[in-house]
Amino acid sequence: MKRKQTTGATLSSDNRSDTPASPKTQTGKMYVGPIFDYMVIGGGLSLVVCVGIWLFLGRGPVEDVRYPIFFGSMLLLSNYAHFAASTVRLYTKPNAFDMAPFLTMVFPAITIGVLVLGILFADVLGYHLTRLYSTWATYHFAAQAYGIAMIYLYRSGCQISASQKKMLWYACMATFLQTLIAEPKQKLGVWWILPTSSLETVPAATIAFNAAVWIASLLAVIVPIVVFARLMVRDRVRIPGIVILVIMTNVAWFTIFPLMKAVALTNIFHGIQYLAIVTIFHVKDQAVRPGNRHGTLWHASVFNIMCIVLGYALFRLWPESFVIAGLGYIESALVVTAIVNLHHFIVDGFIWRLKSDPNARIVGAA
Amino acid sequence: MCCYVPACGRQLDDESRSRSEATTLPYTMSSASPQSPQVDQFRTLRLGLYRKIYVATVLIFSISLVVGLLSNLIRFREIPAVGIDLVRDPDIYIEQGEFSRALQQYETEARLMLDPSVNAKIGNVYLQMKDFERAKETLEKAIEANPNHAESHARLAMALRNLNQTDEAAKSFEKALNLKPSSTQIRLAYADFLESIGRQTEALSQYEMLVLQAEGDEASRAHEALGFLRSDLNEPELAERSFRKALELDSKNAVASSGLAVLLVEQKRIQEALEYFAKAVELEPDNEDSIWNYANALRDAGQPTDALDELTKLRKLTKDAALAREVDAMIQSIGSAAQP
Repeated sequence: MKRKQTTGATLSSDNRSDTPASPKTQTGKMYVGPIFDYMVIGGGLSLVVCVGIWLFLGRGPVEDVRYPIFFGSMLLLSNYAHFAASTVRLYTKPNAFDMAPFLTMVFPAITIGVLVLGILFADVLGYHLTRLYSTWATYHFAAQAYGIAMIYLYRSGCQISASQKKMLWYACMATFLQTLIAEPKQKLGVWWILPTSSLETVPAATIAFNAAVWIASLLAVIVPIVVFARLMVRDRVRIPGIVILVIMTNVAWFTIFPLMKAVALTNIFHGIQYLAIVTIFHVKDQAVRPGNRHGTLWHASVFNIMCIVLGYALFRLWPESFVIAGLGYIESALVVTAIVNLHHFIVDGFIWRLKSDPNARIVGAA
Repeated sequence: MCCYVPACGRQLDDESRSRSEATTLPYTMSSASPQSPQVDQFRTLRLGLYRKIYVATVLIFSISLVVGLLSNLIRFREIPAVGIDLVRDPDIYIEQGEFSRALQQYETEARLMLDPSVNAKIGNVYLQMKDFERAKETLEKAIEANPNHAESHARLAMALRNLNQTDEAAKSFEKALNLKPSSTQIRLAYADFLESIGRQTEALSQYEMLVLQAEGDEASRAHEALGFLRSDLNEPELAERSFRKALELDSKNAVASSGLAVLLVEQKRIQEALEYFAKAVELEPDNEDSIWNYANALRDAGQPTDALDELTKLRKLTKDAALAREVDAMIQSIGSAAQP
């Protein structure tokens, strides 16, 4: 019964421990090393870069138009590549075709079908696909922070109960709650369904809306702090530092970065974080494949090059093909973006699962 | 409940649950249980169909990528560039003169993204189409959505200028410059506007600021504009200095060369003027004003044959009936003067 509550101990026998956590668990068990894991997977680098650009390059909008080549290249290398990474991972994952025949073989055709319909009926279907992916994206960010936090909790042998995990879940989802109500003009989140006209015309509604957004933004910051304080002080859980960093970086991405006009940086570093962790899982899978003759660097490089090439093809070449068919470029590009996002979110459900999956081994492995 | 890690770590719950359930539930279904031949046959058929769908999908996707690349190479002669924007700017259609297409594309972007800042781009297209009333309406919406967008204020000013609402235009230009004092394009447009409404002293100070701000070709254009204004203000020495500076910064500035030549003619320095006219005509062989001025200068300099050559060239080039008549008259007058 005790094991059922301490789920982390069930993953791997070498992580099982009923004794108090060692001091090592304070920093957590790393995949590559503390600097890489904290800066890249933990997202610490995004905070350093954002503050650095803001301090040293004029204290203006961080994604200033003066640096289009830098931001454009970074978007390709991280953001576009990370969308492609879920697909590359899906098709390079051992036994993926046997484990998920529908997802690997039929779902792409359905995706293309919806894409074509979305472009043809851009004003109706394209519009809703755009709202859907934009709303889902903030959940995806929060869920990624939670997922990575869980990986490091389990890797580090940190034992937490189901209710404590639920608290961490809420801590991550606080940012999602904030974005769920904060974008009425673009009809995202709840405003996708609810009418927004009264927000501009009825003063009381405007005040209530502004108050709600302000409270939600405050909660996005406070809830994780309260949860960490409760877990560490009251429950005496030794949470690895990287878990705190991952979750608080996600909070910064949705609270501080928009104020500094650094939303592009959020997308870039979310992509870098994703690419890093998915590369680790890919490399560890490839390393134990029978007949493997290549090292870590080879597998990591090949995987990332495939992601960059596919990312470029998806976002920059694919929309052009619909123009030849007489369809508008803008609707093609926007609906392709929506579809690639949605495909990424759905495929994630398979590539990160642990049940009866080699991923469980990688979470626990050194 | 979702069941994966980086997108949602709850799978770890499922993992532990499945283990605990395996020990407590005696009737758990086994995935390895024997299946009937019909089920196996159905599964085989289903997987066969899946494979066919998959192969067809990969084929279609690959072909569409190649088509996308070729289409871009043919239409724009470039490989699609990566930029910070989600979509390529439909301004490319404006450059090709396809205004309605650019407009339709921006409107689609605005509808799908519900992004009011797109109105700034739509307003620009209306401005290019010389539909100033619609440009004004759209740009006002853009400013309402983003009051700090300097370019929207500047474009609104240009629309207002063309609608002869000069006071409002001046205010919008001032707002734009307050928001973005470093923008040489906005300052150049403002100075030109001030000059056009006769506020020449203010225009002069804007041009003087502009020549300090601008660099390269843009600085050359600023000096050139300053040269014309000083010429109008009857300051020939300063005007000449400005034109010469413009040419120093950009030796291919035909307008500055022509402006300097006209200034030199006014000062009766015909031989010097001929040199700059010749340069202007060489740089812009289709510029009818330059050819006409050059021909006049050649005639005044006592070079009727060269003047006739230039006039003949102009006669072939021009589609302006009034100019054609003037050219014919001058050809005739030079011809009759040359006869003994």
